[in-house]
Amino acid sequence: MKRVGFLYALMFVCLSAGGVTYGQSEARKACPFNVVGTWRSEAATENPILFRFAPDGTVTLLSASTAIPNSDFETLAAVSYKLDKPSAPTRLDIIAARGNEVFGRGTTAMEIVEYGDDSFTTIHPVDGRRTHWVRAKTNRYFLTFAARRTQLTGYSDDSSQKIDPKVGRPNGAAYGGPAFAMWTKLDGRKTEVETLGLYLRTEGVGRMVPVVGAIPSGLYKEFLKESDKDSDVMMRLELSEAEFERTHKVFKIWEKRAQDKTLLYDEPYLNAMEFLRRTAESLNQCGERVKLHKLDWLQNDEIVSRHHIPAHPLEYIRDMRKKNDKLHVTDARFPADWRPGQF
Amino acid sequence: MDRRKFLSSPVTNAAAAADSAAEAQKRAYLTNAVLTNHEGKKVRFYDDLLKDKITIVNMMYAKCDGICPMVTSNLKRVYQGLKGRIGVDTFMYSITLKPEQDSPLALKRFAEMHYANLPGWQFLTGDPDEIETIRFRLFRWDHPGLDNDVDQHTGMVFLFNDNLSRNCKTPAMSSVRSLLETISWMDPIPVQAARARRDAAKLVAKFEREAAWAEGEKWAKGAVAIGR
Repeated sequence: MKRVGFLYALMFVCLSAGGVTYGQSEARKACPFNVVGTWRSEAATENPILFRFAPDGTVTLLSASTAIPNSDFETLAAVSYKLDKPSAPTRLDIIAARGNEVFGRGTTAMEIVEYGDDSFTTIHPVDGRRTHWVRAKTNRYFLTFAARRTQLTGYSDDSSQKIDPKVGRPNGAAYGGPAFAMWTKLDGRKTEVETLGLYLRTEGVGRMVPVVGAIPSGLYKEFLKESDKDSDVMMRLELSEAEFERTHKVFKIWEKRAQDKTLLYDEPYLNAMEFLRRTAESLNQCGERVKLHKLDWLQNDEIVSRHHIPAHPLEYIRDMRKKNDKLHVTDARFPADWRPGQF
Repeated sequence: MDRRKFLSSPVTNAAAAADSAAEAQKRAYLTNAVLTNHEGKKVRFYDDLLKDKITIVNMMYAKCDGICPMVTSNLKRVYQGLKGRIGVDTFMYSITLKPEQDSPLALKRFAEMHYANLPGWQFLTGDPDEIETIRFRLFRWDHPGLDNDVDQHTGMVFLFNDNLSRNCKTPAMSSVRSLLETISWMDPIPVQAARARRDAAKLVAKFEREAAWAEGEKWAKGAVAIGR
């Protein structure tokens, strides 16, 4: 009986240990860690010190302050940092060549025992103190997908007319129009907006030419607020800093493609669709953040089989909004007057 | 100034300008991305690998357990079929589809494992986005469903003659004979014509030999009959 009991106990220990290990590895595998950004430690006082980790290996210690004009923070000190493996770290070294009020001279090596998008936990090497770090909200991030339905010339609905096979099938509406993604960053003082996607440029006598690139300000400003036009569709999401960085990588790649003329297709609408799809799917890199239409471009694909290529981006965004309406940040919920301070 | 030179210079200048414009266009379209070959050497895609050459390009990755090893083995037979041409006017390039995984060393090991570490055949890696551009420019089907599946691009070979701006794609698992035939389309017309004349002459000689042999056999049979 004792032996059976022992075996059960052993099995329980093994299973629990396995479960923990499995859980940890899954959590770690889910998303690469990104230390870049501003963090505060759990052991914060009334006037918390913030740690701003820069991509160049420096960490700046900041304190919330109203004394400095045009800034919400006062710089206390700057030291260096190093992660053993930046995307899956187990050790964080803070290196103070001269030493300062916060860090003594030399290297303080901290063991990282867990991490996620918005927090990580370290253990101090000397006293074994456990510190939980969370991202400080010094900025707020939004990603907006927007599209407008426009009647297109040169794309016919008439099945008796010859249609360029690249453009699409003879049935369905001949509409398309601008479709783009917009990254918005608020820091409480200014709003930074970056856009990329497809817009229509008028060339010659009223000829509309689809172009992939940065969206003209006149157009994207119409989508800074929700439009009440039936022709417009918009999906605005609030992102964490890590999510923003991940989606912004797609923006950087495609911005370069548009500038260097190395877009993947000759057809602008295909490029726009591919860019928007990759941007949206980058939100789901670490689990399902938004429900998306899975474009497979085959006969059973609801969007592809029912619409011409120029309408695909619009329909994709419309479908995204329909599936994720609760995640959409309405104008009423958009923090236009937000100021950092509540860390 | 020499009158002939004076009169012809605007013409030659215009031709040179048109040539360089065409070259710039090809460089822009095919890209001049900096890649690293399996020996660790940096090369520019258009300037160093394609310009003034006949090229055979395919896409693979070292850990591919699908079609890639078979394609590499087939291309090795093509290499042998092209005898003295590889490394002279014709070059072979295998570009990785997974540059994040395939270091130059991993590609070298792949080449050695397939006995393909041969002169005139380079295995290449580089920046993932630049390789994606090359992949789309050379192999895309204009169908995102297919193009986003990297494996769809491992089964094709891209053939290109820079001097003639002639290119085509062909299935990589075609018979070696068929691949060699398709590669021969990349040759300039005079070369093709000379080859056709040579082949025709060989055929005529073969027919004549066969006819003479048949005649000889007939004569021999007749002689045997007379002997009886």
